[in-house]
Order: sequence, then structure tokens, then C-alpha cells
Amino acid sequence: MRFRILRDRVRDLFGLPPLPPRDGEDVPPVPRVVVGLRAALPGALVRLVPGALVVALAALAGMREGWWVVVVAGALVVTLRPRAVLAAAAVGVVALWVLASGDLLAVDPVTGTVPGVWRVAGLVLAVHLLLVAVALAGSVSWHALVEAGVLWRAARSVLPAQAVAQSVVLLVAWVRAGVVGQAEWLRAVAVLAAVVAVLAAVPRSWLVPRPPRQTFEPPPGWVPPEES
Amino acid sequence: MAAPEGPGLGPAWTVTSALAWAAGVGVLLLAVGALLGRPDVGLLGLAPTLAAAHASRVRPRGQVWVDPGETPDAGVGELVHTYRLAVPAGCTAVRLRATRPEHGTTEALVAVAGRRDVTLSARSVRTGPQPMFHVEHQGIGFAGLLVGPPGDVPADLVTVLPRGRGMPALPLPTRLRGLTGQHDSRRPGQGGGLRDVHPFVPGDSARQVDWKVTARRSPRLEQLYVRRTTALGEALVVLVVDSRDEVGPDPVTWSGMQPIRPDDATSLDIARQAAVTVAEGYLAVGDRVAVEDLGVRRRQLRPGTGRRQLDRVVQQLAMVAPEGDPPRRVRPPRLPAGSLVYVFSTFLDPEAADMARAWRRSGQAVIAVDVMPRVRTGRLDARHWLAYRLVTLERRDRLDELVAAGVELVHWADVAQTTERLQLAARRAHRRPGTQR
Repeated sequence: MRFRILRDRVRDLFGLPPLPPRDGEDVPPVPRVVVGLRAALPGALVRLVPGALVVALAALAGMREGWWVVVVAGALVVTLRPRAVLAAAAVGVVALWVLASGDLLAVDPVTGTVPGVWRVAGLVLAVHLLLVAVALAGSVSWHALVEAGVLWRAARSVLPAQAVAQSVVLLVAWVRAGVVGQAEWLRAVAVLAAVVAVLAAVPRSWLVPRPPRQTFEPPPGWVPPEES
Repeated sequence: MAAPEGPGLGPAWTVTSALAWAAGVGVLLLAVGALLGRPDVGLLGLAPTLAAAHASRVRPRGQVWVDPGETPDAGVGELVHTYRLAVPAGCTAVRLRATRPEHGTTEALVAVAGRRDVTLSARSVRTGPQPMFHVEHQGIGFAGLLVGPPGDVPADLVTVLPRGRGMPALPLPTRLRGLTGQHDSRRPGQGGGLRDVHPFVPGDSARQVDWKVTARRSPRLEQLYVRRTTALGEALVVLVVDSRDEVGPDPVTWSGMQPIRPDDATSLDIARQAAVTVAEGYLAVGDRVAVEDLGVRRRQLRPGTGRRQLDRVVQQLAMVAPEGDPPRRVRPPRLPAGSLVYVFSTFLDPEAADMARAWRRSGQAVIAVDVMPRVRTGRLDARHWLAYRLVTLERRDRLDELVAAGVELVHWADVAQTTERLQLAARRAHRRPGTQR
């Protein structure tokens, strides 16, 4: 109290107005609208998942020291702006790295096994999860709340496609390792399956040609409105 | 003709960029892997391709329905409203954004399987008309790869009725009215307590003769003495609410540029509570209560009594709110003679105090209720502090002048002081001859 009076006196000497007293009451944060949720997680956790998956993807792909700068920058960008195009770009970079660093499903000539099968399985899972996580994170703000049921359903929707993809990974590994015999015709089947998958993935509306844009032809007797 | 809307009706959800990019990347990786003979690269695109293909075929139709149902009865303390969500097949979650002007926005991603009730709540001590929740919603399907059209539900307007806090004793006006009521008046009549003992005059009933007094004063029965009782009367109380301004505890918000916290009662909330408390106290004992608004002239309630009048008073007080820039009153509103006037105001400007003094000068009992909330100065900077000090000095002078003019002053934010002052005023009024409660 005395200090405040002295302080105001000094300020008064210099022609300054007195400072307000700081009453010690702690003002709690402004109450928010509460949504009745069952088991909720903070949206920030969901927003952090794509960045973590980008790092995991790079680690599984075996990126080396210099590339980690790019990886961390990419993870940050995807975390801050969860856009599908950024996730697709990250997947593309990882795929290029995998393409350049040699066949991960190559057979070890000494043991006759495929040592990279687990990495490929991990990459297949991580790529899928990244695309889904970015789509989900795009609908969640940092301060939002996300029900655990939403995440559970998202994980469940990933399962069927992953079951098929992981089975194919195993099948390819077995073929490469000679477990099911050296069948060269399987390559033709794989190419055919890829074409079928592409045709299945593309929506039919994309394949239907658009009707040509029609020009406006005024009906007989039509008078254009006068410009005001 | 309008397109059908609702869950399962209407056009299918459009393909989102997330779905298109997932399909594009998947297809590209599959093609590259197949063409270059690199199954490890091609397999990376298999799962996204399959997921995108499946998602594009199970696209939900129509939009999410959010049914607000009936507007609930809002009470002081917490606003609660339950919304019923109905989603089309294939929609697994709903993105909700609930907004209230003072509470801000809250977002949530809610899992919905078909139908679900979601409850929104917000703590608030505000009374009077106010909006509930503005809800924006958007359906989400297939882990975010599908997104439906957005929609919104506008906020319902509810009126939160003020509640009284109870007052043990209230003063009476200098003069009681009528021939019925709960209070003894000064006039002789029926129903009240003993007024005096008076010689028998024509018109007195033989039942009123007090034989003991007669025997003592007139042993030979030359003169009979009767016990006269007082008539009953009722008090007329006028509640004058100053609705021209509404300020919160933080002076930074007084300019109106910043919102007042929802857990802070404003001066008008306090005025409503104070007026309801006073009205409940008087109407409970059969007195007449009227309401006058200093801000808007059309808002006035004529004197009345009983439970229905209390409902009308509460409703009237709930609707009291600042409206524009009201013109300055040249003369005070005309109030019934002999009424007790309560003026509920912040006294930040001289108008309400001038009115109170004018009523006091005309002989009416006036109680000024200061409804200024407890001020928090923690957020004030030097300029705000200076302005606040000037306003406070003026206001203090104004209140001192009121007290000097004979107006009883109570600060409603100080519960103990208010109760004590009103009890004291009530005792003073009861001591007055002929006006006992």
C-alpha cells in the first residue's frame, strides 16, 4: 500500500497518471460451451499424428542424415497444415527414395529369405495411415475435442484394405523366396491386378465425358433487357 | 422444386480432395510398381487405392440432421440444450461447432451411429433474453476421406428469469392505502389491532363495548367505552429500474467493445435480482407492486397484487434491457402518492439520482439500490484507471447527495450491508405510529 502511494507520488512528479492497484483475485478462464462427449481426446493429439507418421515413414524407408532435415520440415508442414496434397507429396518422396534405394523385397542369396518384408509391411501400413490421418486431422482444429469412438471407427475402416494389402505383401515375399515356386506368370497377373485396381479406384463419373458446353441461343422474339 | 434433404435423401457427398489424392497417389504407385517391376513400390499404393475405391462407392447421401427439439426452460447458472443428431448411412462422425456470444466457440468430433443425442451446456449467471447455442455441423465418413455438406442450426432465443434471494424484512411506505391488506393503518376500522378506547358514540356496536374499562371509568354506567381497532391497509411499492446501461465488474468492458464474461453478473442482472427480491417480499404479504422503467417509457407495469402479479413482474424485469440512446426525461414519471419507491440504478449518470431526489422532495419514501457489481481493477491500464477514478468520484458525490436528501441507500452487491440496512429501515417504519406490519 505504502509502495503504491510512493509510486503514484513519483509518477505525479513527472506528470504521469497513477497506476491502478492490482487486486489479488485470480480471474478464472472464461467458461466455454461444453459438449457432452463420452471419452474425448484433445484435437491436438490428432493433429500431431500426421507429422509423427511422416517421421515413421522416413525411418521405415531408411532415409539418411541429410534427408532428415527434409523429413522434419515435411513433418512440421503436415502438422501445421494437414492437407491431402502435402501428405501425397510426402508419400511420393518416400516412394522415390524406396525406388532409388533398391528392391526392399529382394531375396537374400545366402539365407534365401526376404529380409525387407517387415519394412515393406510397415511402409504399406504407414502410407495408408498417413493419408487417413491427414484427412481426419483436416477436420479437427487444435482446440477441438475428438471422441475416442471416432478414432476407433477410423482405425476400423483401415483394416479391410490393410488386410488385403498385407496379404499381398506376404504373397509377394513368398513368391520371391520360392515358397510357392518360381512362377513368372505371377508378374503378368500382378500387372493385370494393378490395372483392375486402378479402374476400380477411379470413380465412374470421371470416365464419363462431359457434354459440350452449350451456347445461349435466344428464343425468337426475345428482347435483351435494357442496361440501366 | 427443391431437392430432397436429410439423411439418406438428396445427392451423394462430393468427392473430397483427400479422397482424390489418396486415389491418385495409390494409382500412381501401383502403376509405377507394375511398370518398373518393383512390387515394393507398387504395394505402397495398394491400400490407399482399395480404400479410395471402397469409399467412393459407399458415399453417403443427404446431409446430417440436427434437431434442436423444444427450447428448454433456461435457468440461472447453467444453460443446457440437447440436440438430436441423425446421420445418413456411411457417415460415421459429425463435426460440431457450438457458439455462444460470451462463451466463444467449442468444436468437437462426435461419433454417431445412426442417431444420437448430444447435450450442450454452458455456465452463465446472466438473466434476461439471450441466445442459446448456434450449432454448425458437418458429416464425416470413412475416416475423414468423405465429408458431407455443412449445415447450421440458428440459436434459439430464451429468456432466463431472475430469481430473488429472500429478504427477512422490508420497510413500509409512510402511508398505507385501501381498506384491506396485511398491515395496520392509522385509520380506525375493522380487522386491525387495538387503536384506542373511546366513549361510545352512535354507530358503535354493542360488541365493541369494553365492560372492564367502562366499570373502571364509569361505575354508574353514565358513559360506555368501546375498544376501537385500526383498519387494515396495503402498501404500494413502485420498482423503478434504470435499464439505460448495463455494466460488468470489469471497467474495461464498460465501453462495450469487449464482451462481459458470462460468469460475471452485470448491473442489470443485479437490478433484476434485487427487484424480484423486493417484489416477492411485498407481494407475499398482499401489497401492491408496480414496475417503471427509466430507459424505455412503454415498459411499465401497473400496480397489482398476488401470485400472477409476481409472474408479471418477473417477466417484465426479465425483458428489461438497454435500448438505443433513450431521450433524457424532463420530469420524473408520475407515481401514485404515498408509494414507496425503489430506484435500481448504477448511478453512473445523474438522471436516476435526480429522479430519486425529486420523488423524495414530493414526500415519497425513496430507497436507492445501487446495483453496481464489485469492480475488478486488475486489467486496467493507467488511462483506464484515471477515467475510472473520475467516474467513481462523480458517482460517490452523487450517492452522498442522495443520502443528504433523505434517500435510503443500499449497495445490493454487499449482501450483509443490504440486509442490515433494509431491516433497520423496516424497524423504523414499524415504529411509526399507525404503520405497523
